[in-house]
Amino acid sequence: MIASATPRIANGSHVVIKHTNGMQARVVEFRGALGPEGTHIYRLRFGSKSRPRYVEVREDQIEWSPVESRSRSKVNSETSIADSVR
Amino acid sequence: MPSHAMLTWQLVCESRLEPMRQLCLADVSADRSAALADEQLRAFVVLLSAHFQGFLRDLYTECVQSLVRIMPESLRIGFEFQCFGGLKLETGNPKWDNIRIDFDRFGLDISQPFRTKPESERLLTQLGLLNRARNAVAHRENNRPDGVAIDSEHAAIWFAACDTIARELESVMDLHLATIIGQAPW
Repeated sequence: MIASATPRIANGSHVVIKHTNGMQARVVEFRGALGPEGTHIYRLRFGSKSRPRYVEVREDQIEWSPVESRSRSKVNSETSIADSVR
Repeated sequence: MPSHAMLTWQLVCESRLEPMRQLCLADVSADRSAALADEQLRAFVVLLSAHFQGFLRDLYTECVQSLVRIMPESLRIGFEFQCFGGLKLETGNPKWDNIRIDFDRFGLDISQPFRTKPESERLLTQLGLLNRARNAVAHRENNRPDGVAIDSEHAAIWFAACDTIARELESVMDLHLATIIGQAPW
């Protein structure tokens, strides 16, 4: 894909999907600015390693997982990724 | 306004595929053996198929997001799980059957607008031939795949067919989604 947008979340990052009872996932691909008004879209992998499943969500639908937050001491774990990168 | 997927596709066509196609058209010379020319042609076939599949995936994602934006926030993720579960275009080639099955999820018969145009049958036939050629190259079959010649003439026809299908598909989805959400989807 060719896109001028630069991903703000690296592949491999652990995230929690909002509105899912804390479902954890990993970012596996930056899909580009394909959302409304250029919102960034990320492809996430979740579920077991043997049977992974995938979904694509907007940046504001995910937040850092506790695992990721611990390694990002300056980022408040309660803030969404979209908030923390602004 | 074109979708982001279409803008990316146009950029890919202009900056990557067209120069590659021109390279395939160049005469065999001392600097470019017949074997190298054949390799470049085969590379073009796989690249064309890959970029076309990329366009389809981008367009599908944009279609989903155009619907997601009018939903209450709490319902969005459930809808996205439904939309991205078991997508044919994630694992399969950009065959018409896969395109149709995925885009029909939006509540339309994507084949219908194509059926009404006289040139559609030829376009879809060419897309089928591209996929067969792509598989022959990717799986390193040395013989011609079921009589499909991989040459620069066919490559140009397949390129044009992909471009026409891309534009038509974007146009159909634009109209369909605008009817559902009451505004331009992108």
